[in-house]
Amino acid sequence: MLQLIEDIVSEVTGKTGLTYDTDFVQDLALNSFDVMNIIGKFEDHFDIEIPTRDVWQLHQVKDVIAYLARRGCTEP
Amino acid sequence: MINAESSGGLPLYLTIPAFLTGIAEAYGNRTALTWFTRKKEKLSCTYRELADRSARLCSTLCVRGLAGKRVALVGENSADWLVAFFAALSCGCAVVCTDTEQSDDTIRDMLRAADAQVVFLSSPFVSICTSLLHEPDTKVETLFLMGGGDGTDVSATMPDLLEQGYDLICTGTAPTPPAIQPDQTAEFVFTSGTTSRSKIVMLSHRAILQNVHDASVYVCLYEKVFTSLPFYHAYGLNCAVLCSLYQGAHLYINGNLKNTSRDLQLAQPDTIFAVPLLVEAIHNQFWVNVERTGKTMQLRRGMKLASVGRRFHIPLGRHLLEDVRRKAFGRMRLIICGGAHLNQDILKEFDLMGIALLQGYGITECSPLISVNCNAENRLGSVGCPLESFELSLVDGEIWVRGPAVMQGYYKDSKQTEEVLQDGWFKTGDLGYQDKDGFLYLTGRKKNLIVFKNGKKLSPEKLEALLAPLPLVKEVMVYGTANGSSTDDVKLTACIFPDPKQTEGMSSYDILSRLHYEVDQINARLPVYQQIQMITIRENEFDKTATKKIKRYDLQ
Repeated sequence: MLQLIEDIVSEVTGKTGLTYDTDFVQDLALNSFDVMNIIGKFEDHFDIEIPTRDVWQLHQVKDVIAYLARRGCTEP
Repeated sequence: MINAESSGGLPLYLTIPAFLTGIAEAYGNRTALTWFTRKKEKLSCTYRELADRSARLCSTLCVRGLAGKRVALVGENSADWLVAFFAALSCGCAVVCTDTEQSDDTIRDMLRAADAQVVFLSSPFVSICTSLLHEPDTKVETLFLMGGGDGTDVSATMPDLLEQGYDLICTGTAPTPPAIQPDQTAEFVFTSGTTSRSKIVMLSHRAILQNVHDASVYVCLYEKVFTSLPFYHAYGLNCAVLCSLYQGAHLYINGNLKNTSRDLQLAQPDTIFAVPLLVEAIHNQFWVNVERTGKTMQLRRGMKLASVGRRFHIPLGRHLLEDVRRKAFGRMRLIICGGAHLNQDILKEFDLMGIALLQGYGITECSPLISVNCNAENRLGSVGCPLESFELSLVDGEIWVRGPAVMQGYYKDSKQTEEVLQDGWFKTGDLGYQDKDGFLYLTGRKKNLIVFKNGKKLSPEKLEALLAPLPLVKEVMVYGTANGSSTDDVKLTACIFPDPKQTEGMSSYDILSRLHYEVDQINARLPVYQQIQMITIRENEFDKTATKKIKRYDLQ
């Protein structure tokens, strides 16, 4: 899952080198548009809808992995 | 209702219903709106269909006794949002444009503060708003559902309302809507104040439509326009939507930032309404893609060559850059950008590729556009000339404006209204100067507001009000610093003086850890751009003014 997230982040922003503890805003300096764009790619990939209010709680890579697991999303 | 003294060959409508009738007659079967579903399905409606749907909903609202009520719109950008907007204004209602990116509590506070009686909402907001129906201190009496959803917990869904309106019109039993006066309030728009509470700006039909007219005199849009600007902001609604419809454009609406990039690709527009955040994102993505092709150096050289050529009026590198533009941006030729400061290097690069980037300046209280560059004359670094109907004056460097597009005042806040309105002049709080040709340049702000690249503004007092009740906090000040590498280019920092009694025996590390934990809980309820990214603690109380307010600028 980490690799998938890295691929999507890299596709959108060109940034690489993610770990479980990477914070999208603090460490990668992403802005709110980048974050939402990445979330849109997750939605497409897993065919789920992620409410905007849920996005506010996804700060680090591990938050995203835990969230996707809760939503029943597994790596193909 | 059209003013006979319209200028520039453009009609000056005085009421929104007259505007709607006018554009339906002028552009009839032309496509007015297009949007994409989550599954990329393309949906559209013509100018005639937009007017017809609005007329049906207007009839339904009248027959249900809701004409003249205060109608709040709580939902992401959608065609339903616009139909509700036009229908409500056509039957004498005023529309409360509600910021859906706020926390649940703030949305409820907004509806209470604006005395909303009828709420059109989309499904994510039903659970947030239903509790208002049972509260004694709100006036909310009816909820209607926009978009999809099963309609549980609401009075009716949009398809039900439109069907009822259709029947009323077909059977000739539709009531005549009340006459609308140009100076009637049309929009209630929230804006950041210098206190923790937002102010509610009241804009009349006349003010909005004067601004739409004047903006269109300066800016000519191309055929296909794209916007992801939120409709609950005056820039998104009055500039992007109303100006596009006024000029007969085909407007692509995007309702969610998650799909903005995708929808831009699908729409292939020639004009975009944007804030700097979007422009910079498009620019970044462009260079990421160039980097992947390994042609970064070649393109940089081409741009430098073209830039030098421009100075001597020699079209160097033109074919290369036109080719790049076609491949990377398709038909895009015009970007209108406002809301915050834009990096001028980005503007120059777009310009070299043949995409004009017109910067403008506006403020909600002025409906909102005050000045904008023209297609014919785009002056770098300037926010353009003031619109025709505005008088502009610089008082000690502060921009004051007067004219028919200035607001009626702040709702239920005569004190703040008096502070900013003087003999018809509105004091913007922004500092600037004009060059000899009248072009306006912004230099700073008098007001204590944090401005983000997404065009949003935030009063630091709002966050301070959330932090102050934390047990460890004795005093707090929030401020933003532009560092070019954090969220929306502004890093929000909370500087806290811990309560000595509550922190007795705790180490600085313990205090900071506890504060971080509690601030994280608060951040989780806030949009990303409003989240506090840094906490610092101080050992002494803040210096205060004579009125015991923290001296902000000593720290910043």
